[in-house]
Amino acid sequence: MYGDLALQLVTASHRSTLSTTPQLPLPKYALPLILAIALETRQLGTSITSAAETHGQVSLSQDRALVCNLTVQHLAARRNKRCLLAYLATRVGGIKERWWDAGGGLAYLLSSNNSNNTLQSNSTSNSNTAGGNSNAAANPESDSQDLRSNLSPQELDFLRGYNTLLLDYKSDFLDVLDLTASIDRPPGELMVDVRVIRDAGEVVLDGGERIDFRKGERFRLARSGVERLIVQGFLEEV
Amino acid sequence: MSFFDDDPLSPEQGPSSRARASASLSREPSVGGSSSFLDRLRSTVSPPAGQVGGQDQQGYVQRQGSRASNSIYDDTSVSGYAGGEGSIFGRGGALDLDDEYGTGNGVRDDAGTDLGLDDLDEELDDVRKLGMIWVKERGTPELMPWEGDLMDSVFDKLEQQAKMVNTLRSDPQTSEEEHFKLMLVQTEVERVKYLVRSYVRTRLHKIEKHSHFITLTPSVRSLLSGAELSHAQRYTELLHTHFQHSVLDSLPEWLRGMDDTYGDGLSMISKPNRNTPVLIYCRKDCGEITLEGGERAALARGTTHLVKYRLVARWIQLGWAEVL
Repeated sequence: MYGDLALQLVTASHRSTLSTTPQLPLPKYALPLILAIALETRQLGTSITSAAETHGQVSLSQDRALVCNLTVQHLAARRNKRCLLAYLATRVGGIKERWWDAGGGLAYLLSSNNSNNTLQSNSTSNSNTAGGNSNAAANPESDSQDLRSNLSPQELDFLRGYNTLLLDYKSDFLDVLDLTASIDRPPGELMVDVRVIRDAGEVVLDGGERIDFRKGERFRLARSGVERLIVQGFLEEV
Repeated sequence: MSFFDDDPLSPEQGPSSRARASASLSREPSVGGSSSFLDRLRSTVSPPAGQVGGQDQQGYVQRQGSRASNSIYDDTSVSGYAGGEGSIFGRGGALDLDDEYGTGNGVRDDAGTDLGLDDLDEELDDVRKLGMIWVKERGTPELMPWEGDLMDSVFDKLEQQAKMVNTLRSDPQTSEEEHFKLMLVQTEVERVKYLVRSYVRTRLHKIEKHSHFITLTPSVRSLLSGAELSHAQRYTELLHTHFQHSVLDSLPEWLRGMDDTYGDGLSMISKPNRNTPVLIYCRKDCGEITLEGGERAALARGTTHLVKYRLVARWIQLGWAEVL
């Protein structure tokens, strides 16, 4: 049946959005399915044009079966297009959501896979393997690993483009505030207690102090300065 | 001299004592007797301007009696201290309406006139206005006009405050108590920043959602700031390029458009859904509206309603009704 594949695509996409609350990794880009649907649509397209050409204007008004056939094919083709775009649009939404969640850190977003791997290899080489693993499991960012490999090349381009777009936009505000900082809840306190859950190396904060973040250490710092590190999973609020 | 005593305004606050009693503690840094602290704060920015502004402000405060003055940090203090979590949003926004408009109305009745909304607007300081437009923006499905002037003034103040705080913090003469007040100021600066951030991002979200519609509709374009407009255009382009490259290029040519209308009347250009229900509070008598089923409902002043946005959009835009 025409449109079966498209239905499959849309159902899968719908299912993946149902459970966004504990954010699941973005499903892999369904390239084979999309190619199959595009192929089907192209075949429908050629069939429609050839039918219209061979029969011409006159018979269109007389031959009811032909008209019916063309209508169904036409609708199926349009429906396919709609499903494909709906799939893409849903994914675009997911990609944007992840971009904002990561505080606009594109490099971080795309490299989270690597850093997670190094974290795991580090922790296994450590003596307290159990603690390291549970940390890795509790790390909220670990589910977003492999984002890069789950995106199609076009989606990667989109993500990069979106990143540039937003950087341009927020540069207007940057001297006063960082637009991409978290807006989950209004800030209540100026200072925040944090624990380092991932080595971040030496970081220069707003006030000019340099702090060497090593795993396991605890600090009390100005929230605005370390917000980004919290978002990116280097620090954890206590 | 205690924290509370030196606020000359507190005795005459009467009706709103609930909130203000605790607020006086926090308002104190800016309004109360601690003018020396204020002067120091101000003197850190260019002195002449600061002085003039300061006097203006003092006069303003006195004229207004119990109303909050228009500096950033006194509202600050109110929220940072008196209410703790979320209080500024309640005050600036809508949750505390009774208190807010209760007092407002009282003043009006005494004066025997019905003050226009403009007057009411003037009574509100920037932070509270920001809170109101923030709530409005979040509550409505359509884009509201960009509050450029307000944003500019808020940004100016934020910058100024940051400068003041930095100067005073590194000043060895600053006393313990002043450090404490500085912390309140800073906390509020952070909270105002949160408001701005949330406001701008809410708008961005709406813009991206309907970017194509916005770029095609001149009447909506005027609601956006220049940066937002260019963002909308570039985003539409980006999205369409993405769609083209991903699938549309491999479809038959007559299916490659991005602005088709489907047989069921659904257009590919998505518009804001004006049927979204909104919760409104009527600040003025808004007459009657006719609901879907032919039923009529009166929007009397001081009442709260849950209705479709389409029906009350006019009043919301006029500011007669407020979105909660």
